[in-house]
Amino acid sequence: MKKLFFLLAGILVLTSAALQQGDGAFDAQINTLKQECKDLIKATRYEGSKVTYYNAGSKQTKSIELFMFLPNEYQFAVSTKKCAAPVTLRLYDAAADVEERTMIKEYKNVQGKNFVFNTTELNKIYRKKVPEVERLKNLHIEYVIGSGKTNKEAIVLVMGHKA
Amino acid sequence: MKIQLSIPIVAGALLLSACGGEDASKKDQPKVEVTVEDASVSADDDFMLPQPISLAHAFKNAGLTYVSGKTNPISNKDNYSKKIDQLLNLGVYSTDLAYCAINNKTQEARDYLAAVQDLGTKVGLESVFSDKTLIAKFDKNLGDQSALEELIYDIQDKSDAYLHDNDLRYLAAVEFAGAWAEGMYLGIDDSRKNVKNLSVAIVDQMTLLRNTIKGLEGHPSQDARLKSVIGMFQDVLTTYEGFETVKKANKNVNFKAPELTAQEFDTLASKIVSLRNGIVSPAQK
Repeated sequence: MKKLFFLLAGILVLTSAALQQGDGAFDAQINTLKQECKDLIKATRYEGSKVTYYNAGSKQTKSIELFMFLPNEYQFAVSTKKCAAPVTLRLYDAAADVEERTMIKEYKNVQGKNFVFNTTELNKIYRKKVPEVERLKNLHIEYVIGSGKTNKEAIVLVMGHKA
Repeated sequence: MKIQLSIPIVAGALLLSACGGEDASKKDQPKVEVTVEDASVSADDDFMLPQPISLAHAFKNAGLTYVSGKTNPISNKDNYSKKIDQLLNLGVYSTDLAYCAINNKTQEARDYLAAVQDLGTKVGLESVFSDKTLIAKFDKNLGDQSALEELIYDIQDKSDAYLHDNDLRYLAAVEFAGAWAEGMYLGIDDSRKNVKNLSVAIVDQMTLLRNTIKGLEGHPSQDARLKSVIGMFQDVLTTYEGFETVKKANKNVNFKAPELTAQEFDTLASKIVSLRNGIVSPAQK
């Protein structure tokens, strides 16, 4: 019986190791993409970054809440180069549980590339849609990930603001 | 995200029999359900918290002035023996460093940078803070406020990268909690002179509190001290969300912020002071 326990423990360790296999190379690629994003907005002061990891396969949504307390222009660089599944970005002024939230902008089928956007353009659109607001202080980015081949994928977001 | 692994014991039994283990009939073999935490998959609802220096800038834009003696004395840094207190006060000192730097108090900022380096090294961020040239770079830019600020943003970038690469982002959440508490303390203390503008900045930054608590709750070691700290933050949030003006305000924080009554403001100020003091002066056991 003792042997059985040791064997099961061994199987668990091997299974766990298999789940983590290849993470080193994957992480290195993510770091490269993060650097590419930083380079895209290098004229800004670094405010933060977020890597959103997911297992592609079924349709899913991930969201990130961001804060912009300074009146300065904030710039965002997104890399979806590690995404094979279709990705759509939706930018909202509030979380999903807030009634009557406004979608400010949508970027459809952006998988496989790097791109940037900023609060100057977003504020223009937002003020047209919601005239009573002054500017965006809180932004919710939704990644709508379509179904695709089962794979580990990630979306990189880097945010900075002008001095 | 969690992955359920069903491992039929038959696999083990087959191997066991090959090794001369006891026989087992397939019929009797139970399944072992193992839950493996898949840490590599992000939460469905995530957030990114701002840099302490950006929060300090937001307060300065709203009229916060520098008041000598308000920051956490550097001499306190040796009082923090627990990792959680070291992390929280690393955040407190990061805000103090930013507060001094953006107000052109370069000597004070230099002292806080040394304190940040010291505590940063203690909490395991040696590779970020052991850089002996940091102070030299700081000295080289004395008198150039913008360059000093760039240096602070650069340190934060390096710190973030290190924590991300080493799966230690939960440490950043604790550090941020300390930074937030110190920023709010400095802001709320000075706001009595400039209630109109500073109270807007304070209410703005209250929107970070829910995520700050989420970050603290994400720390894997929920020991008694951390639970007590979370309780203090939760107390501020519960008090704030109980205010009539806040209850009536639009839940979309891009709309007009609630205007707190004088009584609400005093209650919040008292909670913030108590929270901050509970962080910078933890009961030494």
